[in-house]
Amino acid sequence: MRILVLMRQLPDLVEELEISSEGTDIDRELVKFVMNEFDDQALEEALLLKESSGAEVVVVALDEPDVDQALYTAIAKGADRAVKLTGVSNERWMSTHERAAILAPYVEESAADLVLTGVQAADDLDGQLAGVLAGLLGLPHAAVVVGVELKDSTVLVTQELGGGRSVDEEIDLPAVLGLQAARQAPRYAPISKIRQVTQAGGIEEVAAHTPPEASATAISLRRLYVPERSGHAEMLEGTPGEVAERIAEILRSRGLVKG
Amino acid sequence: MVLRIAIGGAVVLIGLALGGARLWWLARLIRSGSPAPGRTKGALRRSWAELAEVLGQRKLLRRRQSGIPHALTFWGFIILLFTVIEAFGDVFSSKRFAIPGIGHSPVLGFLEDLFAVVVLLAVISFVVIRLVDSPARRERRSRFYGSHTGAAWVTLTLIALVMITLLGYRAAQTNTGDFPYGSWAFASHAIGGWLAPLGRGTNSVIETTLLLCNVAVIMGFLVFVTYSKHLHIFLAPMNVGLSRRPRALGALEVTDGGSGARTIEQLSWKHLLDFATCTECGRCQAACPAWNTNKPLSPKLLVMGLRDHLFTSAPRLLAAGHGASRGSALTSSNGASSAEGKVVGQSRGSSDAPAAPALVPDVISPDVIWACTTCGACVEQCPVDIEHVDTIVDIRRGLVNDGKMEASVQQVLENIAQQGNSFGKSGRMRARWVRELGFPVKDARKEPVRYLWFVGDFASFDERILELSRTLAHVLHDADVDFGLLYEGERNAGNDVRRIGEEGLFEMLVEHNMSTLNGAQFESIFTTDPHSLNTLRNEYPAYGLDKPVLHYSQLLQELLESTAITVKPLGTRVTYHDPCYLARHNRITEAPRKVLHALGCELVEMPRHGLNTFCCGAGGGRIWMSDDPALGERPSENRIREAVALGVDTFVVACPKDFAMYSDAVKTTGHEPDLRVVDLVELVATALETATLAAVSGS
Ligand code: SF4
Ligand code: SF4
Repeated sequence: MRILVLMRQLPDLVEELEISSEGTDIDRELVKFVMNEFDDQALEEALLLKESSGAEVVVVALDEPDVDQALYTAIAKGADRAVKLTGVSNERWMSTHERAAILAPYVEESAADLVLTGVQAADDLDGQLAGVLAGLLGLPHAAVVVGVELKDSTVLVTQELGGGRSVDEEIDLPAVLGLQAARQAPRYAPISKIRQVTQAGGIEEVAAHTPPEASATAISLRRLYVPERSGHAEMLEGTPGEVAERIAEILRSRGLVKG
Repeated sequence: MVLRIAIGGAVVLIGLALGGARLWWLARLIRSGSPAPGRTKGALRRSWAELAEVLGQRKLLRRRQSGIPHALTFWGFIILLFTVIEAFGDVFSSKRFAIPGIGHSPVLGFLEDLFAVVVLLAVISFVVIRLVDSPARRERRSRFYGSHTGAAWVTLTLIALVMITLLGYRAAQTNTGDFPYGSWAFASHAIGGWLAPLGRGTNSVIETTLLLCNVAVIMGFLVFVTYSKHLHIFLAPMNVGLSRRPRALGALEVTDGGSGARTIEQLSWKHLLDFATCTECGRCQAACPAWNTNKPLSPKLLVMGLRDHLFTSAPRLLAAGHGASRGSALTSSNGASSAEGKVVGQSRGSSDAPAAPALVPDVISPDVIWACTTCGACVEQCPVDIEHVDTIVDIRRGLVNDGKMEASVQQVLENIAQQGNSFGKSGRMRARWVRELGFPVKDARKEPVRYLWFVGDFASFDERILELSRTLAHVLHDADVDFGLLYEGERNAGNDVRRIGEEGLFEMLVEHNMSTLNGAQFESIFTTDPHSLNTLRNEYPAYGLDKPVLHYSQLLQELLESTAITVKPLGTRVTYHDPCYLARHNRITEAPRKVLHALGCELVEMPRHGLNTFCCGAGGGRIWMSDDPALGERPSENRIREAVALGVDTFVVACPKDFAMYSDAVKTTGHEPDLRVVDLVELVATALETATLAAVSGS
């Protein structure tokens, strides 16, 4: 049983991000990159599965800034192998579709039984990576997963549906899952261990398959900017009845409710 | 005579065999521990410690009530060694045996009698102390809570019996003509006076019986000692001699690269010796902030628990040989670390010995280990120099290396690893508070400065406290002090990280800070935070730091004394809280007091002050752990109540963490209206303002 964990590096949001002079990207010079926190959940779930079933855990990431540290940390936590896909420009933002297109051939070759990744990322808030990847590979997929249990040739997943409801379903392997949360909080990797692992090296570098030419869905970015302040707030005063009356009026005037 | 020799000989041989076997067993057990390097270095310092702490009973005498009787008993036993030799001489040699070289000097006779009586009186005072502070009645508040009180009573009885039989046989001797001392042996003669009417024959029987009883009680006592907490009679001088000097505070001990102790095998032999030496006196427990606020940790009970575990593990430890092999049997529930075990954290070797129980949780509950603030009150108090903090942190290291800790602590460690500060804020924001000063502050990485200000996380990032940083900057600026910062080159100094047990992260922080410090030009460092001060001063030198490290209270003291700043007396009545890491760990108690004096404040001391200060509860990473409110008050609240009882309205602190802790504690105890928490530098600033105002209005 081989479990692949796909990891993404994101700008550390505790830093103050700035827009680059071209105006189409953030200034990547000074920013520190950290692992997507949801991918950390995926890694934790994979490690728990490894502990219960003896599966092999392989973490896979593109050659993005500060990625080595994230990969070594994953090894220190217990991942068996770490793979870095090289040859992809890491100096600009990459759309989720592009990312999925680069990952797909590697995932296919790796003969993975289960592919886990974070349900979303700060630059993929609608959580497309797992779904698009599954689509490219023709594999079953589930998103917002909060529980994973391995069977022989299937996997039992618990998926959150929102509104406090969730669903349990059995999916054929191999499958791609977008993890919302692991069964327990991601574990701690002691620095001494990370340093030993780092010294030992052991990141496998694999040349990425060059993605097909920008597909029809590719996005071209015209301008990146800090959200501009628009509109204003209006404080409604008066008795509850008056306030309600006023709200209804506003909604009507914007065409949001009829009548 | 023959009978005397036969009975006496049998008693002595049995005693020596039993006691000797036990001591030999103990020696092998303790030697099975892991290495503890550097324990014999500094012979002079060690000899001095023996003189002061063993012969001089320095630490015991800090608690007068029990210290004086203990010192008298100790000195009494040394004098009474002469009576022991004489008694053995009497039994095995001749009835008028005299110690060669000393003979039967009347002074010796007097001293022997005097101390026999003094020790009896001391025993009575011990009885009183134990009855007054009875654990049955006072429960947790008794320092004997959890100690083996039965053994203590047996010991007191045996000591009393030694003295009674001694005086008895000596008294009888005065009537049989065997007594070699004249009237200087006042007690023997006085009791002899009462025994005289019984006649010479009876007195002769009494003499022989009590003499043999005396030898038997002494031998019995010696054997009992080796099987009880009174072992300290033999082990305390060793433990004191092998302790860290000048004291096991300040720098932490790191053995075996900081991989931590998961099993008893992995604790160093010095710690095993500590456990065997503990007298169960409870001085540590009485001073411990955790125990005093209902936490599960008592340093005494921890040491006793580990000793019991050591003794029950003896078969396994001794089977493994004389410390040659150290079965490490990593009992980790964390599959990842056992999988990585081959590569990492295994330097203590492994063997096929039966699996050792994990110290946590099999022997000690994790709550106990995490409750410690590393305040050092236990180490400071312990009369036999046990090193509790080193043991606790070594056990924590094992837990942290297995990823077992509270989620909030894990978060803080990750923040510090990622951003270099516990707040998880961008490291580049560290010196942002400087912007609002209205004057530039030098960057010590770019231009030389006299003082390098190592600001620390709280004083850089905590909203309430960076206001105090600005006040200090203004005071220094107005006094024309040449100072600078490392700006974003500074990272958390690592004091608390190390005490949480994250040795690897500590090393990473030191390496980073040292590389920044090496690139800066300065004459000395001063810190806001006593915790940073502690590690910079005591631990960074091992990594190459060779500059003096001061606390800002010391700098303020210098400025006031050199009249670089002049102030107008405030006349406020205040009390001052000594931070553990300033006072106990670094012996800095005078500087803040001198500042207060120079400010014209009337200082009212709390009962627990100076080296005996009571911890605010923030140290050792506790500030990031949750307190179970069901357990009752927090250490900081306990402290606020102590201050309120003095009737002062100002509570002065000299540590950013104290400021945070006590600002909260006055609120939660409802004392916010009547007790003001102020930092030392705020008082200085106020006095300055007064001075400036006075100057302005005077002109
Ligand atoms: S260091 Fe302080 S908190 Fe820790 S055991 Fe000792 S006295 Fe208690
Ligand atoms: S550790 Fe020291 S202070 Fe505490 S009970 Fe034992 S001997 Fe006394």
